[in-house]
Amino acid sequence: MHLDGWTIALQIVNFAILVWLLHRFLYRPILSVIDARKVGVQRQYDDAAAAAEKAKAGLAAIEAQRAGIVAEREATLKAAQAQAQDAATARRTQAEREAQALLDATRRTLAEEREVALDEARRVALDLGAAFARRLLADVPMQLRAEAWIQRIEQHVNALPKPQIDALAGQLAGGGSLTVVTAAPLAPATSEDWRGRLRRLLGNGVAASFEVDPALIAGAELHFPAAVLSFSLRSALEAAQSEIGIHAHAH
Amino acid sequence: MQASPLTSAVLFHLGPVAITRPVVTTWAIMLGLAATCRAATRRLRPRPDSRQAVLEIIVTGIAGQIEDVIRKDARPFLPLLGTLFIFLVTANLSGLLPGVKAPTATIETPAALALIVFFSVHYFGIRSRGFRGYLASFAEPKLIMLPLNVLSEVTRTFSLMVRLFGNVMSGEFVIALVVALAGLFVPIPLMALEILVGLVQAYIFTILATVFIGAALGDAKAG
Repeated sequence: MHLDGWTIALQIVNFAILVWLLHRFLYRPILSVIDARKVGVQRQYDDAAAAAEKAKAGLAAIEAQRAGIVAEREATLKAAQAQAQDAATARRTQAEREAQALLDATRRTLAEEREVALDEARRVALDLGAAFARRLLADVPMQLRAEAWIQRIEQHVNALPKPQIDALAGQLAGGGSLTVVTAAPLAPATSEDWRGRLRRLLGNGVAASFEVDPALIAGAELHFPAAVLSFSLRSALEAAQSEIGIHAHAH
Repeated sequence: MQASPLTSAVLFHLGPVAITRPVVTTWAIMLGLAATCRAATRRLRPRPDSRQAVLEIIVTGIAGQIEDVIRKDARPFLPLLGTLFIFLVTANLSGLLPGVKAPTATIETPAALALIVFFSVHYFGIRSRGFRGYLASFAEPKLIMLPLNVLSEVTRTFSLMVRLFGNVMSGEFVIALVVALAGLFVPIPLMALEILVGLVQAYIFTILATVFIGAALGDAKAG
């Protein structure tokens, strides 16, 4: 077997040239396009990852916004509830106050009406009592009534302290007159009897005149120049009315 | 008249250099491959058509095989090993064409390729490990292995050459004998077998070269 050195050398050179040619026309273009495709795919992956991250961030923002909306709704509902509760409380307080005021007013009105009714009842009772008294007294003889009235006057005056008696007598000493008002007219004899008994009580200088006032119902009044001593049933009724709180009513 | 079928026929001379048939056939193969690749890769697009897809499958397939063996990025080795495989496939199958003798059926072409592999192994080994480190690798795993490792460098290169040459040459001889003895269409099954042998031998030569280079790099074991 013979080995041709030139052929071996030429084949080595040929193969080296073929390596260069294929590197130039096959490997490099193919690998370049594959690399470019890989870069493009990687870029798409990166873009997709960035889009996914962006979407995730957007989702997180939406979640946060939704949470904010929920919190805001909660706060709004809570505020509305508090406001409604305050308003309800205010309305209830106002209603209670108005009801209390109405109740108070009603109670006052009822008390006033009851007072008025009570006054009226008392007045009616007094009037009825006065009517009964007038009717009963009408059955008593005038002489007996007059005697009773003068005895009453005498008991009262005798019970007064001495300075008061002197003061009353002093009003009559300077020319003052004493007017005796009776509920019914006295007989002339009775009148004389009264003058005598009044002189004994108040002094000899007493000049008494007599007048009649049926409004007295019963009894008599002594009208001094500066004082009135009342022994009538009207004054007793008025005293009773003032004691039981009946306001004076004009008749 | 050709003295021996194992001897390359001299077609012409360029000065003192005798241009033999395998060299001319190799030039034709180089021209065909370069022109084909140039035409095929002229308009590459990001979205490949079927032609581009085939090219990408071939290139990425070869790169994948290299990476599977040497466990490193295949790109520095792709021009050498990929060209080795493509050239061997083309050269081995060229003998099936009428009137064409495969360049690998003569001893010079396998010898040239084996020499290229031999020096490439040392080049990549020194580049990867450094000169001292690469030399030290011959004493692994024990110093006593140094002579055997050095001898294996020569013998495996020789076996590369002889294996390729013997398989392709014998296949062509068998086909030629059958054609001479039995007729024109009888050797067709043998030619189909020769296609398989050509592809397998190209694959074996390339894989062994890859394994040798990978072993020289230090991360792969030679099979």
